[in-house]
Amino acid sequence: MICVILPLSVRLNRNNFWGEVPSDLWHSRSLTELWINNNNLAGTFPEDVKHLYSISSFGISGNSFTGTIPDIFGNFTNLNTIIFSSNSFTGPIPPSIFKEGMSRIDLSDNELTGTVPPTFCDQEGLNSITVDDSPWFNDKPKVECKCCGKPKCYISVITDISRVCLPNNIYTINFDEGYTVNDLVANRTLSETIGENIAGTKDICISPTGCYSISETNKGNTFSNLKYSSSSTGLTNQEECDAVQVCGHSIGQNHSRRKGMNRLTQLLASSLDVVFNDTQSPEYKAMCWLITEDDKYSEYKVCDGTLLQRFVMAVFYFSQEDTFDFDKFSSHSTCDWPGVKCDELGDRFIEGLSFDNDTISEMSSDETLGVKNVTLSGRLRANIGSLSRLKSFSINGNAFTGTIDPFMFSNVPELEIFQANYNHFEGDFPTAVVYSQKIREIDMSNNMLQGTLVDNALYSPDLGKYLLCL
Amino acid sequence: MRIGNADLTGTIPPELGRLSYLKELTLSNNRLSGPIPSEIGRMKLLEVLQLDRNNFTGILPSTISHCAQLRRLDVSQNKLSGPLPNGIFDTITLQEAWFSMNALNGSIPAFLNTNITSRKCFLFEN
Repeated sequence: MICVILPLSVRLNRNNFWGEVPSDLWHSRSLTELWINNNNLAGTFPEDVKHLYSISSFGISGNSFTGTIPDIFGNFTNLNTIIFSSNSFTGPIPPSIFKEGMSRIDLSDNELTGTVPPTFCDQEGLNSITVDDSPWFNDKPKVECKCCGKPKCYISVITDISRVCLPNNIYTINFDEGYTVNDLVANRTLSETIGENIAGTKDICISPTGCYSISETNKGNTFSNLKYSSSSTGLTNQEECDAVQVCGHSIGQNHSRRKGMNRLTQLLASSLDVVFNDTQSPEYKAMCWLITEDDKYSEYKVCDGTLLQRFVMAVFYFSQEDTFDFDKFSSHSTCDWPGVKCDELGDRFIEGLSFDNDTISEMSSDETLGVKNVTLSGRLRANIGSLSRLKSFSINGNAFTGTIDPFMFSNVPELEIFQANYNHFEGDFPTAVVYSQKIREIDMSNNMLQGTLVDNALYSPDLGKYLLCL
Repeated sequence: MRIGNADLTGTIPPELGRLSYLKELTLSNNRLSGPIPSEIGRMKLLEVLQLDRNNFTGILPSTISHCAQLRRLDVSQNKLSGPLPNGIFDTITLQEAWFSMNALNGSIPAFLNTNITSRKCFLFEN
């Protein structure tokens, strides 16, 4: 007789299950997926969990689990996803979580302490890591995340600095000996070279609202309170790290939201004048709201990109003020905002945006949603392309005008569906949409596009099998 | 039988249970409503049951565990309520049991049959 272990995937997420998890579940050696996130489950996380030999994806976020997390992950050879956020776990993060093969870890919104090892952050296949890394509410961070600042921790698969940093913000250091550049707001080292009589150049991504110091390690010189000036393309002295005025509020170096703000200006704000001075611009309104009003700010992280998502979507709603009454829903989670669909397991990353005319009409019938008009118009804002985990994007049947930035979606590697039919787009076809190797449907029919299509070789191999409508 | 993404409305007639040789019933992504009839349990050869993304209400009938060949059970994104029937995870062929995004409550039933010693065994005769 031969016994076969059939893999078993169990998904009970987003229900109202309560009580403790039956103890025999922790002995299910065939379980490959266990998604019990977003229920009312409680209890501790027993040592017996080590029997889940086959587990690959493990989601228990949004429950009331307590106690410490046992250090048992070394045995799980197939494990790649751990979502333990929003529980009441205490104590140290078990080091065995940081094992080879992990693609996603979310431990945020617990009372855990520890350090994410820096070598772990460099490993192949790591897609995101979310921990409670904010140092501003305590004397020191609960969890020190040394991944923060490494592109792959907040934007999947992208490692090339020029694709995650605005060209104006890339600063090239010429060095002939050891040096260290520190970010004085985030309190971390940005770049470091050790040694004497070495020479080279290094690109670093600087925030135009940031504040830095540079030390020449061997000479013992330190230049503090430096800020970046795009006009002189270099770091220049200031007496102290300047406060930034955000809609009448002074956001100083130690303000709890300065680090997040610096990150946003580093990645997105092509013109600081628009963000901080043009009171009518969607960017100004979104930054003002996020930095001075948003009650949910602390739930979103700089490092995993969820703060960026919140800002980008706020800009989008402010740019469509005739349709969206942002005040009505701004206090909700980003994932509960109209038209937004997040990942089912972690409920953190935006995977779908659906602003079809039909969908908006349906939303507008529910007054509590804050959707008051049915047609979107104006230009499509290029920073939508910063939502790097998007899988589907649809804006069919609206009245969008202007051209689509051809590289708008060049950093969205998971994009499968792009639908923008029945709008008034003009100009050339947005070529970068097809950079995604996963694209299987592009529908831009019934617009006023022109020009020639790019080389077939650029298209995803799957596209031809599915749909291309122009 | 597969009728997915078809904008179907109405309910599943209990008579469907008479299709006792059916191996797959997929009605995903329609606008079907009402309860999932307990007669589904008469489809003893059913291997795939996909009723996800509809508006089904009520409890999940305990007779589903009579479908002893079931490999894939997906009822996610409906409006099902009440507890899961005991024994729902006991079908030894089961590989996917998806109940996400409903209003199910109660405690999670036992997982008696899911450890290595009691999963599917084949007897080879010479």
